[in-house]
Order: sequence, then structure tokens, then C-alpha cells
Amino acid sequence: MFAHKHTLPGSLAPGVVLLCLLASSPSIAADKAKAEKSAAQLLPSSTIVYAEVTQPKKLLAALLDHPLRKRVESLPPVAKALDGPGYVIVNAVVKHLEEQIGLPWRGAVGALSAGGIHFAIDGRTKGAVLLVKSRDAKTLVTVRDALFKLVRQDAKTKKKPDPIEDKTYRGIPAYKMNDLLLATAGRWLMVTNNAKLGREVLDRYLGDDSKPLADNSRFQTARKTIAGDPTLWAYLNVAAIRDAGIAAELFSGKTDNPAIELLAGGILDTLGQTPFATGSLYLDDKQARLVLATPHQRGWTSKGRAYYLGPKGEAAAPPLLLPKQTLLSLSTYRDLGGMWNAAPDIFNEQANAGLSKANSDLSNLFAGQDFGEDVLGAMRPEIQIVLARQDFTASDLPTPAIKLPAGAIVFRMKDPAKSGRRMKVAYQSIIGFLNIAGAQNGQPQFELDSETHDGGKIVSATYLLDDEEIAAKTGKINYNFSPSIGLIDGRLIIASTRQLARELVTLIKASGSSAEKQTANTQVRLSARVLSEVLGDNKKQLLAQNMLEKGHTPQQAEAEIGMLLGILGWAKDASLKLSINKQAMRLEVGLRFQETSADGRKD
Amino acid sequence: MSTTRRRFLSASLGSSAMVAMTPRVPGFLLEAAAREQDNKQGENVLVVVQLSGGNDGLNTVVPYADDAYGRNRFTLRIGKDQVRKIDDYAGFHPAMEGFAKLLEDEKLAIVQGVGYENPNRSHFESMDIWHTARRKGQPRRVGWLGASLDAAARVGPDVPAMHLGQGKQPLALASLKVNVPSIRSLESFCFRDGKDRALVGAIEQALTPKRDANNDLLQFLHGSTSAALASSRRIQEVLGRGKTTVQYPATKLAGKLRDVAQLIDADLGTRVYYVTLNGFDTHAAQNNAHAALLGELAGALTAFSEDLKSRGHDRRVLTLAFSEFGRRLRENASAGTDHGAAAPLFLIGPRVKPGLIGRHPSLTDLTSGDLKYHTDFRRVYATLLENWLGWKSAEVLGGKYKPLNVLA
Amino acid sequence: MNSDLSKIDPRQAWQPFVPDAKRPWNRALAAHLYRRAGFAATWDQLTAAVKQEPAELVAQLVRGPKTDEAFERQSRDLAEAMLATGNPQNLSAWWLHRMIGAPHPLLEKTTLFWHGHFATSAAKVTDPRLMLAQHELLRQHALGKFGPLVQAVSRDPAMLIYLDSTTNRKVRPNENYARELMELFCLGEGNYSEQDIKQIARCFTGWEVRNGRFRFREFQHDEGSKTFFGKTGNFGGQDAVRIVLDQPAAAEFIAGKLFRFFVCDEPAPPPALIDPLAEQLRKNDFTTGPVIERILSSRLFFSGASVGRKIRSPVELSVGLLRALGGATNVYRLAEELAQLGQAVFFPPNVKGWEGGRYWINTSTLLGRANLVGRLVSGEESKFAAGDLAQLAERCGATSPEEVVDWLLELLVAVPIPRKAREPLVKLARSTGGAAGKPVGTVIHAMSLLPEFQLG
Repeated sequence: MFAHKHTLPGSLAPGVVLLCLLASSPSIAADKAKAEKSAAQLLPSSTIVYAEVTQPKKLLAALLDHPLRKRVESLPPVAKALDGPGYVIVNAVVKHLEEQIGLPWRGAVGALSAGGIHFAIDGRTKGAVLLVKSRDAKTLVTVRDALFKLVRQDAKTKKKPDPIEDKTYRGIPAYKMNDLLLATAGRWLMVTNNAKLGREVLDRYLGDDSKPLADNSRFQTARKTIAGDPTLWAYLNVAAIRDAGIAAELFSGKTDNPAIELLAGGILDTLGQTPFATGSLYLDDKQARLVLATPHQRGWTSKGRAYYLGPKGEAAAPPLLLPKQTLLSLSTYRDLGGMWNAAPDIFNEQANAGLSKANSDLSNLFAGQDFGEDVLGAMRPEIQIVLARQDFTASDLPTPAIKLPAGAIVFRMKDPAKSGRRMKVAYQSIIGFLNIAGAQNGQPQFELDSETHDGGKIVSATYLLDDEEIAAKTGKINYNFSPSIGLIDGRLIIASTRQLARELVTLIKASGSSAEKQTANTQVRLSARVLSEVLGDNKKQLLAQNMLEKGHTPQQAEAEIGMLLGILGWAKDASLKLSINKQAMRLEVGLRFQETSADGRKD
Repeated sequence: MSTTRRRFLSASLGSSAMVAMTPRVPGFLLEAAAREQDNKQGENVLVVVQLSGGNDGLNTVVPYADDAYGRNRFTLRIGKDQVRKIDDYAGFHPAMEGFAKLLEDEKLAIVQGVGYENPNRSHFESMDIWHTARRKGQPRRVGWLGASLDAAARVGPDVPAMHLGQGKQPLALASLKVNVPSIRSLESFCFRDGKDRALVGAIEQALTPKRDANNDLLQFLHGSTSAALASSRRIQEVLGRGKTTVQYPATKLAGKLRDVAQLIDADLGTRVYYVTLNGFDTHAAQNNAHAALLGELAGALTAFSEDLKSRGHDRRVLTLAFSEFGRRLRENASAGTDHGAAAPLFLIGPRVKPGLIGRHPSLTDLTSGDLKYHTDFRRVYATLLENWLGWKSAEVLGGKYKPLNVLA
Repeated sequence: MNSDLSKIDPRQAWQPFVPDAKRPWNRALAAHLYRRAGFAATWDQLTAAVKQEPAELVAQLVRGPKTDEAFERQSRDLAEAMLATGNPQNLSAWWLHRMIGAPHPLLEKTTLFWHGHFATSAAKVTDPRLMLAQHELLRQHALGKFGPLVQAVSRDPAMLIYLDSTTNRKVRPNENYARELMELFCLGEGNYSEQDIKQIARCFTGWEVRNGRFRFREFQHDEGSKTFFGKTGNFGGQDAVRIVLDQPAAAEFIAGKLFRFFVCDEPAPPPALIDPLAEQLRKNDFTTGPVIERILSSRLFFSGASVGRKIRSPVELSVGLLRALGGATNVYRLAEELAQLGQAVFFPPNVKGWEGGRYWINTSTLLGRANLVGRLVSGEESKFAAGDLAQLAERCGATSPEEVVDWLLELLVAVPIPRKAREPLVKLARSTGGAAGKPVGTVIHAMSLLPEFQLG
């Protein structure tokens, strides 16, 4: 294809240099030299947001030639849209343009953006600017003229005034369309909403070298952190944004919401201090990966947040627990007792009042042990959480109609000998409480049982049903649960089912002595396959809900739910990893696609 | 006619000059609505704040000078220098700064030792007793307020009682006939497209012509619809006026009471508002939790009282704060307290006789470890029904109860 | 016929309605019939109706179409799915969904009638299975014999839980059920004595609910002799129900309630007007279907004493609107909205059910009704089989603003509105051009605040 042969900027560069040397007119020579400035050299140092796609052709290929594209297009709503009138018009316009330019559109886009697409927001002028570097000036001009012609024609047929105002700036052709300013300078296309910013960029293009973004030390430091070959890379001048007072709440380092605090508390301090942040997106056939990073220093973290980052600032989560059919696995470092104690430093008065009330209620439930001090305080900060699809075939109980995944949380106890028994007592009294409350509401009762499994102790509560209840096959949602606790190797397992407690005891026993060398503060993995299976287990329920919620017929509901499950089937898993070390904080979010064979089916 | 009311009428119904100018607003409806408003003027409003879970009365109105208090509350006791003194025997919990101020402003009456014979210590049962004024086994179809509404409320556009909150409606409001709404936000009193002038204009015009005089139902609906639209406009106006100068704390209870103040201001003919504050069941780690609850209560009620005053309604609003029971004198081993019996309740408003009403129950003469009541809660109800709302109480309460002398 | 009930000749009132020049059979009367015998008719149904004889149509509506097996299967599956959640509020959504789509609307309507009559709230019962079991019982007997219905309700676990009658021992008989049986279910106040309650309570001793199931405990049953309503014997609960139903007041009580539900909210009918219906009940073993058919095909029913003389309940209003327009909506949300308006199905407010009539109306509910209608027609979580409302109007031949307004009035509003009230609606329809379906929706929204719109 045309585009393929001609768009490698690297191979073009020597030719351009040669042309420059040969050029007799000094102004042309200067022009050529200027054309080689990078976007960062054209943009002002006061840029607060910068994003670049260095190889748009690659991004385009990754998107358009992606194995999933065909599948997306075959989704009924998408297929319908592609068949619809809107898309027909788009196609006609594209075809028209292709004729004008003399290039297929993909080739044209590739050529137009061969030198990269760059976007920036400037803090000083508050303007935004888009800089696109084309393969050569001629292509740019051809595309520009073709587009303008189309727009002007359209306005004319609609009897509207000429929407494009011709201007020049220091000899560079410029145009005004609505609130946007366009200019084409050599290989550069510039679009901005701010005249001042536009002038500055063109001034730099014409030789002004004052304070470009490229000379900004924060930007330079950020540049050095680029790893590999990201499809999209972005830079955020956090310090400048913070100083400008934008989103002050975010940078205050505090939150009133305990859930947000637990998730992101440790990041908030850093956001309040860090000079910049970067984002890199990597996209290929197999996965999409987004890495958000910021410099980090231990001193930036407030005392109260030690519960999150550890006393030395780089505490690590335990490894992920992966029992059979794991839907979601999370492991993290959170000293919950420490957070509870530090609450007055972390939260405002309202949230503290809420925690005090919760503490009283929970202490009630834990048979008078102080929830913050005696319960959370007895646990070490390494926490593992897991959700797994249940296998109901092994159970004597009726199968529930709504099939929930089993869940468990695993703590390491500071003093297993003492806490283990205390937790057992607390567990027994909670089950007793549930039985009394359940009896009042006509719910089935739990029967306590204890066993030794793989060297671990398990205390479990299973529903005691009479024969009539079993025969009635009511499929109550209750039958998803047989709440259990397990004690092994200093761990406390709290599980929603006995089966999961047993499995975790076995897993922990097997991994017992292996060193837990971990670097992440928090890790999460979600299996798309298991999620799709769990939803599939509950398809009847989903269909019913869909019908009542959307007024769908059974067929419509079936189509919609089927599509949802289908889309899920394209993904393999999703993951999240937060790592913190002495220099940096890194949040990595990944989505891996299900690999497809040539005929488009799953492997 | 008070100035605020006049302001409403002109805002919602147009002055008579406007009536003359625009044929859109049906004159006879306007007059009827204005008459209705006039009749309603001065109608007293009762606001009930239910403290669910059993409030520890002993750490609310603290008998700090009593040795028996200190002996029995060995970790939870609130000392002489911490309380906000009421007299040389009792004082408020330190978190209740607002109550001390209300007392100073002569807007707070503390009725001590309220309860009933053979106290029941189950939350549900005791709350049912408070709600219905009936013991288990007696027919309990309706609540004390709901039954009063059935007997006294006019059928018509007025919303005689409202519950503000998400949860289940309290049994106290259960009535056989009257529909008592549970309100989540004031928006439920606004016509959703009230700002669409073309639409509202069309509706107003369509309401102008008289309806078939032979169809009573249609007549009734015609009047009710006009009144409902007027209410919607008043609420929109009250909401549009924005926040009052009074600063409410950022608590849930304060939010609900702010809504109540706005509703009273918009005057939908509502006589009873009901809100709840949960969490008083402090069996363990009581100190901080109870302080937070009492702080929320006092803060919200103080702001509410100020707000009503600034809106010019305070003299016709009385607030009752009660709980289903108090808590045991002796604290338990989990730094908490268990279910008890008699406790103080609070009446707030400029027309109460301020201060302590009745003596503090003895801390040494107890029934199964609990304070003995000396004032039956039905006497408090009788006071509110007979002397405040102007409704009969004997049938509703299942007997004649003598009103207390607490209203000035 | 005179709209003053006291001046109506009872012999004339229940004669079959025969259209004449003064009262011709037209869309308005057909719409009235559909509203009362169900929730509302579509335009196509009205068009077909006027070509039929009224009596024939009534018979058809009472009998209902042949059981639609596919619909019933789907309904059962949906109910199962709702039960699985354990949340009785989802049952409300399920029933609304059923009412909107049911092929035999009168069956749903009468089931709703009995639900209000034998009011039982899931707020207290909590177990949705028991609520659904009661619901199915009401539906099963809805148009059938009242006697077996009362017998079944008397052993219904949900009912007994609701009335605190899960235990009933001979040493201390529980009077709750005996009292409600007479006061609320069969006779009405003033037709029994406290002594009757005490005696009948003894008949029900030994009747209990355990683990959600009814059981009879012989040892707790009072085997002694009981005397009430002039009869003496060792009666059991079933005998008690039978004897209560033998009282003359029973037929009048039920006929009176049917009258208020199907004919008009007020005024209360004179006894002479009720007598013929009561007599029919007595003669036919208390079978309600034929009495309902007689009411629906009577001269009185199609007279000014009945047309537009009822205030629509929130369920009738919303389900009616959706059925008339061929609409569907998020019924979970609808259930919540109806609860705000005072009619949460499966959650009646008290043992007496919904008082209804004028008690449906206050400022909060009127605005709530209008807001609900506004939401439904705006397409916010709702949709229409015709695509949008403008397309539906066009299909029904209404294109100009005048035609749209007249079409909507005929389809949705039970009584004529003043001519001067129509003009602003036409103007509104004309001014609200633009987005597809919008003018029609806006006009309906405006109509929802007309007093006439609340009548049904």
C-alpha cells in the first residue's frame, strides 16, 4: 500500500537534511531547519498537559486491524449502526475526500500524521493546541484544501456564509473556523482555540527559541521515564495544576470517605507533592496496558498514612491467592487497625463521628471486643481477598436460584495463639446472633461444625434444613452461604462457604514456607472467563431482570444478555497493580484479550 | 395575614392586580386558595424526632452530682467539669452545646422520668408501644398520630403529615384512611416540568374553566389540582431562594430538618413532620458513638430552631425528641449500656415552659436495675394532641390522660 | 339515567344496557368499560369494540381469552426469578409487569380488588413465597365462589402471619382473625357482637402457622360447644366461615364492595340498589363473576352515575396509560413510584386495604401522578410498541394538533373536558414541534394535571 512505503520518518530525515543543504534560498533553508523542531520545542514551557501519539499509523493499525474489530462490527447494535443512514453519509464524505486527495483514507491519515500527533493544554494562556506533523508539506496542503473545499461547498449549498476565514501570520497561511484557528506551517498542522498560544507556537516555528516545553526540567525528567514504545504517552504538570488551585480537593491529601481512603489514601499525599505524572498506553493484539506513574518520596507521606505504605514506605502485599475458578483476587498491604487509630488525623469530624458509631455497632457484634483495637488491631497489614465461582454439585443443600460467587478474606494474625481463639468465639456469637435474628424472620438456622483440614482448623456453619424444605427446592439465596473461619499457619480465613475455607487452607498450607517476595502494594486480578461463567450461571435471573427493567420481550432480553456475555468472552482478564518504591509510584491497569484463531473463534 | 404568607400568595397565586391583568389565573380559585391559606394561618405544627435504639438518658441529662451515677458509670461517667450544667444536680452531655443554648433562650423543656408501666425492653415491642399507645394483644392497626389524622384531618389537597426518610414509615403515622407520604427530597413536591412555561401556561389555562357542578369528585379534583400547582410553585420558590442564612451542620438529621423548615415555610397545610435518627443502641464502646449522636441531635435542632425563627414560623412549631427507652443505670463490661426503662424526652420551641419538668428519677430506687418512670408518655401525647394540635386524645390513646403543664 | 343514586329505580338500574340515540354505544363508553373491566383499551381495541354489541363485549371481557400458555409460563418464570431474590418488593414489579401485559385484564383487576379486600402486607410477612402463594389463591378464586376463597384465606399462612394469628390455643383463643373475618372480610361493622367474636375465635383454636405452613393442632382445638348467630355446636373453623357467610349481611357486604369498586366511589348506594346484586350472590353460591358481569353490562354502569365517578388508583392510572399507549417501562421503578403515590401492591397500608376515592388525592400525590406520567411519556426508561408516540398518533389517524388532542382525550380521559380547556392543549400541541413523539408526550403530560385525568 502507498502509505506503507513512504511514511517512515526516520528514513525520510536524511533526505530532508540533504534538501536543506542544497537549498539556495536562505529563507527556505531556515524553514526546513525549523520544520525539524519537535512538538515539545514548539510548545511553551508552561504546558500543563501534553499527550503524544508518535506513531499514529501503528495506533490506527492496532485499532483497525485488531482481531476484535470484526467481532465488534458483528454486534447487532453496531452492525445496525454501520448499516444506518449516519454511516452511509460518513462513507460518502470519506469517498469524496479520497478522490480529492488521491489517497485511500487510511493512507491519507497515515501520511498526514506520519510525524506524530501532539496535544497540549497551556497553563498560562489556558489554551489547547493540537499539533499534527505530516509526512510532507504537499500532502498536508492537499488534504487541507480538499477538506476546506468540502466545507465551503456544504455551506454554499446550505446558503450559509463562508465558514472559513483566510488569514496569515508572519507569512504562514492561517484560517479561522468558528472558534478554532488553523495554520499549516511546513509539515505542521496546528489547531488551537487560543490565538495567543497559536502565535507563540508559530513564533517558535519561525525561529523563536524562548522557553519551550522541551527545556522544562520537569518535562525532561518525565521524558526519561518513558519505557518501551508506548502507543500513547502523556505528561501532566501536576505541580502547576496544583498551584493553579484546580481540583483543590484532590490535592488536599484528605478525604471524608473511608472507602476512598482505603483505596487511594496513600496516593493522595503524593498527588499533593509530586511535580508531575505520566501516563503510557500500550496497545497490541494481545492486550491493552495503561501505566500511570509519578515520582514519589518517603517524606511526602503523612504519618497517618503509614497504614497504607508501611513504616518504611514500601510495604508489599502478599501474593495473590488463586483457588479454583477464581473470579477476583486481591492482595494488599493495609494496616486496618492503624487506620482506625489514625482516623482523627485522616478524616474530618463527620467521618470520625460515623466511624465512632460504626465502632460501637461492630463492637456489639464482636461480643464486646473493641472493633478497632481488639479486632482490627490484632491483624497484620497483609490482606488477601478472593472471590471464586461456586460448585454447587457437591452440596446436599438445594441449589440457590441466584448463584453468587463464594468470597473470603485472609488476614495474618499478630498473635495467632491468642487472636485465633478470640476470633473463633466472636464467630460463634455472630452465628448465634444470626440464628436468633433469622428465627424471628423465619429463616433457616445454622448448625455449627468444626473440623481439621490439611492441618488447619475450620469452624463452619451450614444450614440445617428439614426434609420438607429440601424437597420444596425453594432455591433460597441463603443457600449460597455456609460462613466459616479457618485457622492455619497464623492466618485467619473468613469465608462465605466451607468449601472455599477448605480450599484456602490447602493452598496456604502448600505455599506455607515459600518466600513471599512481592513488590506491589496492591494487586488485583479479575478473570473475564469466570465472570462470564458466573453471569451465565445466573442467566435466567439476568433475563428476568432485563425484561422487567427494560420492558423487553424474552427474545430481546436473550439477545441483549447474550451480547453482554459475548463481549465478556473476548477478554481474558483484567488486572491492576499499584507499586510504590523509594522513587516512584506506579499504577498499572491491564486488559488481556482472549486470543483468537484465524477463523475468529476462541482458542 | 402575616407578611410571609402574603409574600407566598403573591408569589404563587399572583396579587389581585395580576389577576385582573391575566385571565389565566382563575379568580375564584385564587380567592378560595387565599381563604384556605388564611384559615391555615396559625395552625400549629408538630415535628417528631425519633431517636431509635434506646437513648442513654443518663448520659444525655447527666445527674453528675449523684454519687450513685459515678459508682454505676465507672468508665462512661461524665464528670462535673465536663457537663453543661442545667442545675446543681444535672447537666447536658458536653456534645450538646446547642441544647444548653436552647435552654438559655428558653426554648427547651426537658421532661424527666418518662415511660410506662411494666416496661418492655425489646426495641420493637417498646417502639410499637410508643407508636400505638397500645400493649401487645390490643388491636394495633394505627399509630397515635395516624389515628389522630383519621379523626381530625380534612380530606383534600393538604398533606396532613409527612415522614422524611428512606426507611420504613414509622407505625406512629399508620392511619386507616389518610395517605402519609415518605419524602426523600423536596423535589417530590415540585411539578417536574414546572419551568416549562408553555406547558405550565397550558395547564393553568386548561384549569380555568369551571367544571360540571353535578360531579362532586370533579369539583374536588379541580380544587385540589389548583392547590397542588400553587404548592409546587411555593416549594420551587422556597428552593429557588436558596440556602438560608442559618448554617446547618453537615449531618443527615440536619439535612432532613432543613427540608422540614423549607416545607413549613412553603406551607402545605402539614401538621406533623416525622424524622428519625438511628444508632442509639450503644451496648459497646459507647463514649464516642453517643457523643457523635448527641452532637448531631443538638446541632441539627439548634440550627432548625434558628432557621424557623428567621423564617418567622418558630412560634407555631414544636419539636418532640423521644426514644423507645432509656438505658440501664449500671454500665456493662464492654464500655456500653444495656436496654433500660424511663428516660427524659425533649420539647423544643419558643412556646414551651423552659427547664426541667418533673424530678430526675431516683438512682437508688430502681426496678430491675432501671430507673422508674413517673410520667406516662401518653400524658406527653395528650399534651401535644390536645394543647398543641387541638385534636382529641382520649380515643387515640385508649383513655383520658391529663396533659402536662409544659406549654406556655 | 339520573346520576343521583337515591333517585334511581333499582329495577331499572341492573337491566342490561341497550344503546339508544340518547346514549349511543361509542368509543367513550367502550373506553369506560375497558377502564373498569381492566385498566384501559388501546385505540385498536376501541375501534373493534364499537362494532360489537356491548353485552357481547362485556361477556368476552369477563370470560377472558383462552389461557395463553406462553404468557403464563413466562409469568411463572419471572415470578420464580423474583422469589429467588428474596425481596418482596420485586414481586410488586412482577405483578405490575403482568398487569401491563396480561391477556385477561379483568382477572388482574379483580385480583387487585381481593388483595385490597384481604389486605396482607409483605412489610410484615416478609417471605415473598408466602405472598405469592396468597396472590395465586386470590387469582384462582377472583371470579369464582367467595366461600371457598374465604375458607382458603382463613388457612393462608401470609394472612395469619399478618394478623398475628400464627398461634391459637384453646386456653387463650386469639380473637384477631375472628374479628377481621367478620368486620373486614364478610359482614362489615355492626353485623356481629363481641360475643360472636369470642365464640368464633374458639372455632379457630388449633389453627396455626409453622415454618410458613398451615397446620391444625388437634390438642389445641377447643372441642367444646360454641353458640353464635343462633347456632350451637362443636364447630370448627370451616363451620365458622360457613355460618358467617350464611348471615344476610354477607351478600350485601360483598355486593356493596363490588359496587364501590366497579360502579362509583360515592355516594354510598342505597340498600335497595344493592339488594338485587346481593340476591344474585345468594342464589349462585356467592359466585362473583356473574355479578361483575351484570354490573358491567347494566344501564347504571353506562350512565352518568358511573362514568367518571371514580378516582383512579395509582395502579389503574399508570398501568392504564401504558396499556392504552402500548407502552412498557422499568417496572421496578414504577413499583417505587406507586409506593410514593400510596399504592404499593403486596404492601397495602393496613388491614383495611386502600381506602381509595378521595383519599388517593393530596398535593403530594397529584404532583407525583403528573410527574410519573411525565416520566412515562418522556421515554425515560419507558418505550412504546409503535416506536414513538407521534408514530402511534399517526397510525391512529391523528396528525394535526386538533386531531392529536381529540384522539388523546378520547383514549385517555374518562369525561369530556370543557371546550375552553381544550384550546390551550391544542395550542400546546402546535407550539411543541421538533423532536419525534414530543408534542404528543407533552400534551399527555399537560393532561395529567387536568382534574378529569384522575377520573376513571
